[in-house]
Amino acid sequence: MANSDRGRKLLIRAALVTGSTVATLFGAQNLAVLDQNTFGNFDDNATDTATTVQQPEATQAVDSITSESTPTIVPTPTQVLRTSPNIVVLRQPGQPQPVQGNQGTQQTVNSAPVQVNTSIQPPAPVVQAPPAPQVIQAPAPVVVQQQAAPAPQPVPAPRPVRTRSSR
Amino acid sequence: MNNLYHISFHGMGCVINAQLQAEGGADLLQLLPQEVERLEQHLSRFRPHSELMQLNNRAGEWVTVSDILIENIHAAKNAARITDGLYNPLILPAMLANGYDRSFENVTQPAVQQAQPAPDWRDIKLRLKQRQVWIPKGSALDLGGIAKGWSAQYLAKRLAGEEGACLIDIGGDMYACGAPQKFAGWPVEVENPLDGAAVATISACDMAVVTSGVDYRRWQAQDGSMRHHIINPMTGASAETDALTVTIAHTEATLAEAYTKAVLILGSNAGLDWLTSRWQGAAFVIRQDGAVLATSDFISFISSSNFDGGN
Repeated sequence: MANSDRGRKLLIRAALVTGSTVATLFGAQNLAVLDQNTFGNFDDNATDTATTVQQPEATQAVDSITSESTPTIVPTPTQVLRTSPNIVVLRQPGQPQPVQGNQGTQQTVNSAPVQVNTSIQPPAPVVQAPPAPQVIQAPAPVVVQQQAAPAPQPVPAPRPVRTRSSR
Repeated sequence: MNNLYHISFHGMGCVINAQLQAEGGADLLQLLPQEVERLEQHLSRFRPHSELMQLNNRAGEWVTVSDILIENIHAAKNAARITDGLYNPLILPAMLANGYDRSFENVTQPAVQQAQPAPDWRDIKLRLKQRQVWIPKGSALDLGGIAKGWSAQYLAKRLAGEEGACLIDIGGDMYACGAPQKFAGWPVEVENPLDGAAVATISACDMAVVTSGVDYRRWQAQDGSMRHHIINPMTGASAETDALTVTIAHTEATLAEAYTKAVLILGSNAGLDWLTSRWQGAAFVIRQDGAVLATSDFISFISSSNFDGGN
């Protein structure tokens, strides 16, 4: 009696184990097939989409940014604005008329100072000349004829003086 | 109240204007041409027997010079230092190579030579107490605008004395000492070379207003190339710049002169950036394309302008 019960239990356990194993294998196979049917095709299509779609989109995006922002960022006049914080553009290039409005025309744009190449050649080894100073002839006092010099003229008020380069 | 007197005459290769309000002003101004002549005999590079040219002929030797010349060379060396060599008093050989080898009115289609960078300005040696100078063999000094600025400041201070007021302009190198009575300063107009109009007027008192530009002293060399007198010491050739004129207001005329040259050589944007990065000073730039730029310090000096119809 006891042996028959034990045998029945063994049969039931074996059947359960076998059934679950078969079910696991079957499920795994189904899942693999399912994955292949879905993700496998999806990857190929995604790759095709990336090469065919993303490129034009990226190109279009760059073009659109460039074409829209060029007039405001790149034009020649704005090169003038790239100055230090305390530099003011009083008149734009080629501007025939004075800029109207004192405050509104003072466009100040912050930017980092431009790195300029101001380096110079390192000094060559100095040849120390013998310290024998030579005295050169300082010009003797000269009395200049005053004929050509106009006499100073009295003026009622300070005359505006133009500052301009030497001439 | 002393009378105000004005005199205008030719000296140092340009027109000199002076105004003086001081006791005995007329007599003092009468002596000014003679004083300018005396300074030229020390400082001119166009006079073969000037003290400067005698020094140049002795390059490679220690030479004892006058107070006037050593002060100018000292100022020139200091100007080279503060501009990192963008101003360089040893520019004379390069200037000659570009054909500017005589007073400008006599420069006509000169032959030019290959441009060579100027020697290192740090090789100029000074013994100030002994008034001795040493410049490298083969080099030569051209004090140029430094001499004009130094002379304008020196003469204006001497003429004004303790209580007077004097303005002297030597071809764009101007110094205003004091202010005429009932005025806050001397009216100084900044000229736009493109149309000859005054673009802004500033009030100057105890300061220099110096303008340099490439709008004049241009010449065509024999090879057809156009040259001008602003030489880049790094290349030895006329500077390629978008700036037309640069005006600087500064308490020292020689430093103002040096800064104008530096900004001209670097160009308007880089020049003003460079300038404001090391000196928050007053600068005004007119570019060749007509644009006008100024630092906020310069704008504070403006008493009227034609940007807003005058104010």
